[in-house]
Amino acid sequence: MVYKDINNTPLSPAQNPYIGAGSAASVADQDNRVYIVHTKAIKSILEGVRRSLQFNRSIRLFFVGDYGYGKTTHLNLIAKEVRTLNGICIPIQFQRLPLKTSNDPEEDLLRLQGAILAKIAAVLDKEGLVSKEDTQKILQESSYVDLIEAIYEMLNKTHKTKILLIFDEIEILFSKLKIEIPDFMSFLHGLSEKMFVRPGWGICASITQREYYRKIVEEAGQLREGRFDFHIIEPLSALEVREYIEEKNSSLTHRVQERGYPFDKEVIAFITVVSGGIPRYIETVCELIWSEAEAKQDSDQLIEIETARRIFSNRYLSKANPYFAELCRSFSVSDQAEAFLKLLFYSGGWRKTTKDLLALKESSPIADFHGLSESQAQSRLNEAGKELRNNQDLTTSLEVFGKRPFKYTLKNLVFKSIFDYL
Amino acid sequence: MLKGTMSKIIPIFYLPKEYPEDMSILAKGLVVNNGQTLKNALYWLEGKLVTHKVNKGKPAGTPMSATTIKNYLAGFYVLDLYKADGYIYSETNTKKTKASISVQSTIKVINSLQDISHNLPSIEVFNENLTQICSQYSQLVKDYTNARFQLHEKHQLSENPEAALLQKLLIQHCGYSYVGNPGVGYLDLFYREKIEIDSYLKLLEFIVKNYASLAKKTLGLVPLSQIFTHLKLVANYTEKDFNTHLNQLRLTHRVELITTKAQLAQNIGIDLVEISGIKYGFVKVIQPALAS
Repeated sequence: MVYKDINNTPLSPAQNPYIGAGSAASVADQDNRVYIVHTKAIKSILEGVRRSLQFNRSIRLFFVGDYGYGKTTHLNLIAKEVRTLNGICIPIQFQRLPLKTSNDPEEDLLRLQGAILAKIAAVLDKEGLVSKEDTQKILQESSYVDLIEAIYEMLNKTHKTKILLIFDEIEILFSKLKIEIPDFMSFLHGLSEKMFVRPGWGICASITQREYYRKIVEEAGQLREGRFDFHIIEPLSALEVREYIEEKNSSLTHRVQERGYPFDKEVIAFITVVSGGIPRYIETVCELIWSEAEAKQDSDQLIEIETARRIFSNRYLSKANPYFAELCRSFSVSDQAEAFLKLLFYSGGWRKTTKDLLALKESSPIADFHGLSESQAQSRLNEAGKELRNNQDLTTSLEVFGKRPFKYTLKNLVFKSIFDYL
Repeated sequence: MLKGTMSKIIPIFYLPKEYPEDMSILAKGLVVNNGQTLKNALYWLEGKLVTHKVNKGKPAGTPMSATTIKNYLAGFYVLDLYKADGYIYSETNTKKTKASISVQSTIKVINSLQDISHNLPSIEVFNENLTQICSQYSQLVKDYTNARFQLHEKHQLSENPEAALLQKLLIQHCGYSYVGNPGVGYLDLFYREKIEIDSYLKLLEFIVKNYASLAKKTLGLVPLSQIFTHLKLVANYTEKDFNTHLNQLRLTHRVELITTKAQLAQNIGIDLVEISGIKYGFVKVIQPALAS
């Protein structure tokens, strides 16, 4: 299958608009090659940021969201807005800072502050805004005592009206170091109180572990000045996933009708469930289907659900086997029925009869049916099918349509469970 | 004084059973005077509690006497809601059939009672929280709950038995040497029949019923260890059952189990639950919107 744009010009495989693996471009290493979909949440944040920049109000955003939800993408886009207005953005990714615990919380907090100071100095020196000598002078004048004051003076020396400090992946501090949440929040608020006096200066922060949210908000609530606006980044809704895919695909194909091309509606629904609405996972699954469907489908029609599911099954079969084993063990399902489910998954799990599965008995890697005669295999499949139809615990996993011959479909949630399976 | 050397008795004691608002005022009186003597708490409470019925010719609305308030405060002590001179009731070795306590005792209120007495959203919530605390901390309530369960299982005791019958059966079958009334009737306020969780769907129901409001404040994440601790109080439920049912809920796409690193669990102050070799800290009930 060759994908084509609106002018019928073929698209090359290298033009796959999705990123299959790795996290979003880091705040430090921004590039604009990848098309970024501006979801409703992103648009709303950016509108607020633009207003703040326009009216010289401080940006004070704290993002909370799991891996792959788009926190760093949010930070990237905000940084871009600041840079567009000749401002500077200083990203501090805690994952990349050389941090080692002393096992003493006070000492660790000091080390952290020192590391932040060093990072800011390095960025300002690289940008040609504040030299190393100037930094040294500032530190000497502050007698190394008030690090917040020192940071403020360094930033002040840039003479920039728009400055954004970004603290990314704050959760690292609580796992790598012995820092207590209240102490870090006090530091953050102390810094923000100092910085927010300057209109146009701002701080953005992000934390991946949502488990810390309640404690952080409790601490933040006790500190009156320099307060942050917390934004919880949630997975996209089904509608938003569809819009995401349509926008991404049509950015390449320039289609106005059938904007989801080359994915048909059922494929988009499948991706919605499997990804859980998480942008990172939308990218992963779409990239997989986009790249592999090219080879699998002859017609240049839309990619069909069966094809998409077969591609997924092919990639994730090794995870499916232990998943089904655990599922069947938990609900006392027979080995035979377990083999049926595995074969069904291998087939793509879309409206298959036992006859359809029988046709795969030798070619599939599901060894349970290898070497059996047609009638033996058919009989086992029929018995397994009956057992599964009567098992109430599997109704959230398996749908059965019609009457004899019954058609079996694995629900999209099964694919999601396999995708998430540890 | 050692725990467990006290003979099992339910003393005569008093609580303003029909008036939960009085219970909350008494709790407040103790909390405000935490660290002081019981006498201070009495002074604080005088005038704040009034009678609800005509009594000895005096109309309803008359300020309660110091004796009545002192008796109620002794009731709170019997429920282990505060220490007096360093001891909670269940640690003291007393065979007294009527609970009493010296007003000179220095009181120390347990943290849980302090927590629920601040930021009181409603009397109903306070009442519910107080019941929970007593179920968890009061030895008298815990013993009574186990005894009631035993009487229900083995002697088919009904849900609302007569006090006299209850007294008799507790002494005959549950190792009590004395059961006071009033006293045993108040324990009934805190008694909850153990619920049955015999399937993964019942576990889901329990989680949704009891933790939906907490989940709203914590981005949908509920600590697993908190749920299990709660379950152990209200149901005969083993760790094995919990793990099995959670796993079944996960496999049938009804919940997400969140893996949690040991360091994070320590920082947050929760225990981890191991299921199929993986350590989880939290559960999240899956939204129906994406379920298909």
